[in-house]
Amino acid sequence: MNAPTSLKTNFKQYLEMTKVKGAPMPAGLQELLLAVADTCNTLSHEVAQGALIGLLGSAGTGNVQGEVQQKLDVIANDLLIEGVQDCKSLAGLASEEMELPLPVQGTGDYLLLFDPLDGSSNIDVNVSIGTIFSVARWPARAFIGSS
Amino acid sequence: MAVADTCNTLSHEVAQGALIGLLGSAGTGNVQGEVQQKLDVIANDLLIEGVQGCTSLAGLASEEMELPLPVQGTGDYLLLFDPLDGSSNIDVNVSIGTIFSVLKKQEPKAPLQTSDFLLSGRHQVAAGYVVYGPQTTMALTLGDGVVMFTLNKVTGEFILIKHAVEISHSTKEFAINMSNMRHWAEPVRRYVEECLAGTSGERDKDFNMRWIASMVADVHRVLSRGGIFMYPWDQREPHKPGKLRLMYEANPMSFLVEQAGGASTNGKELIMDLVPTELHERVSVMLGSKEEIDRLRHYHA
Repeated sequence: MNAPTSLKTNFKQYLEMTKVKGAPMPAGLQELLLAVADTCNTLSHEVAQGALIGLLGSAGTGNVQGEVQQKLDVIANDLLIEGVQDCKSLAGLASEEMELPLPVQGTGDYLLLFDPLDGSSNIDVNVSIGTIFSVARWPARAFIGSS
Repeated sequence: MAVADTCNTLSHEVAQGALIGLLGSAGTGNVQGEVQQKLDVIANDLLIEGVQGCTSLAGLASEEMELPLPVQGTGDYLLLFDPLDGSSNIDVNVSIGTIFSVLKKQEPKAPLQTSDFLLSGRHQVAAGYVVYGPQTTMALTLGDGVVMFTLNKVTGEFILIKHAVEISHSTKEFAINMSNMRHWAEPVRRYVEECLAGTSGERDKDFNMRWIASMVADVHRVLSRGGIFMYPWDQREPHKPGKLRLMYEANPMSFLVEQAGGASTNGKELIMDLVPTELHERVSVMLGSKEEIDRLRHYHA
């Protein structure tokens, strides 16, 4: 276990200063993890509003804003895709919610995989849910995606 | 209103967790250089403070305090609460909650006595809980159905999200701490064994199991999609009727469940009919979908 921290280190600062097996973290990976964290921040605020903004229930069960209701896992998926679009080292992503991978830059060092909202059966009963992510290093340089 | 306002404050405190040194047990160190308080103590203090201005509140009793505390001393109402239910879940970031019950004081003008609180659940005029989960949501009954509110954390208002909450009479979901199976009484064991047998047994349907180990979160699920929650008598402590507290947990939850069309029993009697002999009395609890509770009562007969 690490010593207790001062509770003054934010996530961005941690990524900048941390060493992984002695080496600083590559800038592209820092950018990617920060984009994921920023999206999860947004998602946390969305989730906290729940029924107030029509996020609960399955698609098509009615909505407080007069639109077709989206399920929270679809919203989370969309937010994550949007949130990492500018990551320069991200070649592509794959999500539990999508059948096929999605190219981001098409080429680049990393691949992102995520389950945008884990614990679906708990969404409507207000029990802790989560987002799970994984980053893989991508050695190949070819375009990814369909075909 | 005072209870709701306090739960709003508490929701913000809970949301900060370790950031303001709220997690862990007392004495494990603190970031602010003070002696660390446990969240349930903080919640208790916030609730006591929050209702001090209530002019009709004669007194209060809390799961965290041995004796009742006078507020105005005289008045129409008595408040009972479990300030932070689900302690074992605090440090692992799973939904926790506050449970409250309001009793009508039988003699409003007489000075407060402990015996004033010893009324059956039928004397409750209001009861509810606030669950601090992904959302902060309150369930409330005033004896005419159950309503739910979700906290708008920006404005600090609880907004009505559901009325006429109803628990379906039949269910395929049960909640119990299965690790205690060998300690249960025969009727409970029989009931659960039949659930486990599913389509190959007596019940002829498959059941799903859930156990959050946070009564508020488990009851919130029962109110939201049906099911049954059990915390039964256990032979390891044969002289204790159960583990949950009648006044702070079982009564308010039973009031909500009955008002939502469900039922609640200790096996032999309806929990709402039990007349307490002491403030911190414990009770065996089985509550939720009516058909299942009827079956359990039949097994106990």
